[in-house]
Amino acid sequence: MRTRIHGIAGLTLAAGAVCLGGATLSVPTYAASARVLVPTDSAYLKECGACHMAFSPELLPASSWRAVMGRLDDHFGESAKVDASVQRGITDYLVANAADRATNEQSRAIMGSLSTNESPLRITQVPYIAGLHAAVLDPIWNGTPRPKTLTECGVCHIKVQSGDYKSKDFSVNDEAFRWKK
Amino acid sequence: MATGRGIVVAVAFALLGVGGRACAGPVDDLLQQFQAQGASHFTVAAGEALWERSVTDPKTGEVRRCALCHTTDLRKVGKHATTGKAIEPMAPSVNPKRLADKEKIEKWLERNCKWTLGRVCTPQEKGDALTMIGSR
Repeated sequence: MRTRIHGIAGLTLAAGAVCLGGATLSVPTYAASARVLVPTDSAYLKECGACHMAFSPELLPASSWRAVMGRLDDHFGESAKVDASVQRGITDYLVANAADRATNEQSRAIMGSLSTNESPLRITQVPYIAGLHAAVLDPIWNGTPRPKTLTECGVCHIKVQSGDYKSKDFSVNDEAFRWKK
Repeated sequence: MATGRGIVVAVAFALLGVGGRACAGPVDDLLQQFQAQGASHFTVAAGEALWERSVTDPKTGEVRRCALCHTTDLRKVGKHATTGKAIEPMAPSVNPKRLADKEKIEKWLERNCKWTLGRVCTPQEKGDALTMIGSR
């Protein structure tokens, strides 16, 4: 049964409210967007989106994108080789829009969870993201979906096409989530 | 008169020949290219055998074959073995976008031969595979 879950999203929203409240108390704050960039680069969508969701560049730091794009002939055990000019173009796009240059809340949380010079090769190796998804990746998780990997964000984050990962509308198994709590 | 008709027929064939070459699809171009690289006659049967050939990846121990992602029935939607993303059918009869772009064909033959067989395919194997896919 698919339903609306308020748990994690509710917590995140509460944290956002504290930030907003901070402004009146003169605590440093920032005007952060709730949404991450939805990729539009046609070469990126074509070449990378052929095998997996074209992830938002704002989910990894520039150093990670450079590392991933620098070894496409062994892309997690698979050849994703493209022409040198295409590779350069996609790398430039990802680096220019990476998490360390982004101002949205999620990118800031991602960067905040990484230590200096840490360049994870997978989005799921980012501590902030790994922590939020620990439940569904836990072997004892018995709900649906039961992902082996997290390559298709839209399976649960049903508003991902508008860059919205924080919506309370995400789709997981109701019973299992209640049991988990 | 007979000679005149012969010339007309010859001219017609010549025109057809030129037209035929201009209209030759990317697969024909590639098949000629593979033969120039030493391949001989291509057959659907050899392509089918290649499609079902299982190879164990030495690094992961996984048993891989074309059909693992693309299914045995090329008219069906496949599924990427790692990411789970849907792969449009390979058969041009149900998916006309297949075998229509030479660069795309070459790119994916290189990538997928390396993943499946652990090496690039020979010109003979590539020609057999394209011949089989084209027949579906």
